[in-house]
Amino acid sequence: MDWWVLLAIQIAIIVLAPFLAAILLGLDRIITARMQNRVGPPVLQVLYDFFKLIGKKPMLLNRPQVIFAVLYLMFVAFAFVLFVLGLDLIIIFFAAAAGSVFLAVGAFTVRSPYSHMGANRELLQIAAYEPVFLLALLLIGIQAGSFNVADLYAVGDLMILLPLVFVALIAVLVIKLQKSPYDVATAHQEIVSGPYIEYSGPYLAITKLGHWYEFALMLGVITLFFNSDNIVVSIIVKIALIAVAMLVVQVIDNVTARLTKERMLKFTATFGIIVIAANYAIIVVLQNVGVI
Amino acid sequence: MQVMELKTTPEDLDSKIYKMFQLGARLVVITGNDLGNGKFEIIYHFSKGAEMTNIKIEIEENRQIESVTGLFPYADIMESELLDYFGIKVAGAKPNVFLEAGSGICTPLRKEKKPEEKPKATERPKVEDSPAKDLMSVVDKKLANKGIPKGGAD
Amino acid sequence: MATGTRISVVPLGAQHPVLPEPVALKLSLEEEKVVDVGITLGYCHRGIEKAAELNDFKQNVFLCGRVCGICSHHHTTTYVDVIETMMNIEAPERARLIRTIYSELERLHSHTLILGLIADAMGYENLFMQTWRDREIVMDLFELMSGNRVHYDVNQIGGVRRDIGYDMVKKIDKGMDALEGKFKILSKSYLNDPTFKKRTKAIGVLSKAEAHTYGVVGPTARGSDVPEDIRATGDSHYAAYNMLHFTPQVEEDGDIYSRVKVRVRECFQSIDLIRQTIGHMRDGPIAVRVQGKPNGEAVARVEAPRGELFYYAKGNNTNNLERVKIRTPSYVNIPALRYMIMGEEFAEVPVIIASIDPCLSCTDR
Repeated sequence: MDWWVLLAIQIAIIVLAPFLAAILLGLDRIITARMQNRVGPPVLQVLYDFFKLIGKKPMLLNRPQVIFAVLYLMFVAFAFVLFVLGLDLIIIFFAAAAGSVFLAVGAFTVRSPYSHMGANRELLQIAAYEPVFLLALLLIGIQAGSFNVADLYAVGDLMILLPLVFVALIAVLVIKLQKSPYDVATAHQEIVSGPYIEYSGPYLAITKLGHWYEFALMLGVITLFFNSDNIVVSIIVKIALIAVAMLVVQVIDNVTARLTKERMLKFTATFGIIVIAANYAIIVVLQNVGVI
Repeated sequence: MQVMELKTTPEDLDSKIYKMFQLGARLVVITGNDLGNGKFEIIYHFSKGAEMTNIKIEIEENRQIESVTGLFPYADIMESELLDYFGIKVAGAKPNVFLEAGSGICTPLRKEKKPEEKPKATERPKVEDSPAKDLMSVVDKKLANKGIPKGGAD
Repeated sequence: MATGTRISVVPLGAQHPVLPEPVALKLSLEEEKVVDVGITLGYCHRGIEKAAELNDFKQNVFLCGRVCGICSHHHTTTYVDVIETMMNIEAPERARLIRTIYSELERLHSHTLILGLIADAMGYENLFMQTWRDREIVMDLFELMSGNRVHYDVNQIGGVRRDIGYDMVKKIDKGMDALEGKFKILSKSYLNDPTFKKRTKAIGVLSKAEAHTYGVVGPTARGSDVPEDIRATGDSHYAAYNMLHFTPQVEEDGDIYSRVKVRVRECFQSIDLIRQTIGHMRDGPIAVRVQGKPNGEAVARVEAPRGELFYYAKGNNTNNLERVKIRTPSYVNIPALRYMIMGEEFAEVPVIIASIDPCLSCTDR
């Protein structure tokens, strides 16, 4: 492939990915609605909201609030760009984590108690899922022998060897997507969207865009799990993986109530880490026995 | 439903209410009532199973009555209501539970003292004499100065 | 937040997504633990007690229905009952049976409403949506019977204004069958769902002694092992409950889960009561003529969906009443909320609030 074709594809992915993620969220809303016997909004509703927010009159409480929102967007977008360029997974991870922290810090700059509580919970949430996420990425790296995303796409057998890591990533996805049972940071009925409560208009749109980049990054990590030499098979299976992950997240969202933040910590600290450790132990045993 | 009526004096109220407390009765509500002659009636409704006991006292307008919150802690908003709606003084009652402070509404449930002195419909001041008329002419003048005809523009 | 005993004050209300009506809670939090609660009422005050003194005593029936949107029929029933007691009027049997049907349907629609809201308060949107969809069956029945989904205004002094026809009875019966089937599925979620249990068990506890101290009524009291049900205690000549067989539903633990359990079981009980009532329906007059003017004093009590509803009225032999006093169940349940919330986590507060089914327009009147 010529270098400029590759570059064009990469730029297209970087620009379009958040909007594709938004459409996926729109689909998610429709499917959730159907599970609840509702009709649900149009697929593009998430995007309509976004463009309407951009058109609204900018209102801000203080400058740092906006600066941190922009930093949040920049860092998660940066992480995604690194991912698309096929660079180091660990750097990508820390850039994304820094972005999430900036969102919490932005929420701390205002005086609303709900915003503070949401920021507290957001930080706690980061502490809960980031170790699991990092462990999952480490195991992927160890297994593939490289942390470069470009190299990872050349490895074909991740899903077969790391099924439990995939399960752990779904748990992370539940938290990232703010779904029950672990949507504590934005709990609508308690702290009214928590860290986002004092953002409005275009600034809320900025945080939304950041959220889509985060989501796109998560989906990107999920696509690492299967690669094939046949590009059509590869793409179909990748989409299927994303669909399975999203469906599982939706079903979990619809059959559970929101649990408390302590339970979230306990769950990720036990379930997430144990599942990944078990996966690694199985691989090591298999390697010693000589199966792989 | 059996309803028992018990009339008593303000001095005797405490012992009667304590008796109800000992019986394990539940205080349903305290009703205030303006008798119109400068006196108020206060009824304590108690319930025990299917039975209701109403303890009734009559007090002068300015007399303070004792609170029952010591025995029935949930009586505080009932007593505040007596204070807000009738201006009956209850020891320790906090004002403005349902009515906003400074809203200008006080003791709304008191009977109006002399209803016959109210101006009747026929005695209403006519529009020609009222200050509103003057106001209207001022407005008309202002409009005329701005070149807008009387009665508003279409 | 490492400063230990730093206390932050967080307002919950007067406008908040979990509150269908305005009430302001001022929560003092130590980290996320509630150490003190202040409740401000009065956002819905409309001066109905005063308005009731100014209106004709027959018009007051409609005024009292407007105290609350959810238990509108119970308010009119209690008002009608208090005037009937005062004027020594006995409503005909068919009228009392019709009142019973409306009362029990209203209990169904109130209970399903709050069960849905409890589920919503803990972020269980799916259960909330499913419950409210099934609630539509009851709402449709109301529309069929009275022409309105809320504020049916079927009561009048001396009877009811609208009869229930034969085919309506059949439709009610069918509706009850459909509702029972759907509710059997839903009740499994309310009683057995593990996440639902985690958010409700041993939270917002009001022990039996505390329930007595704070004088709570209705499902809140019955969830705390206080078997008070005005329908059962013979206080029930307002409708036809003396002709029906049932026992009050009581739970022992006093937590949110027991209050939910009581409501779920009362829903099935209401379905059963409506079927029994339909079995008793005979042809006959639905209202008697009212002559004279109210004089004297009377009290009346009715078991509304939220608990005991109390009216006191005083007449003076004119068309206007001297005084009408309304004591609604939330009037005593909301102050008790303070003691349930204290010491709990902030995340549990919305669920605890929803669990007592607060009605602010009732409380403020």
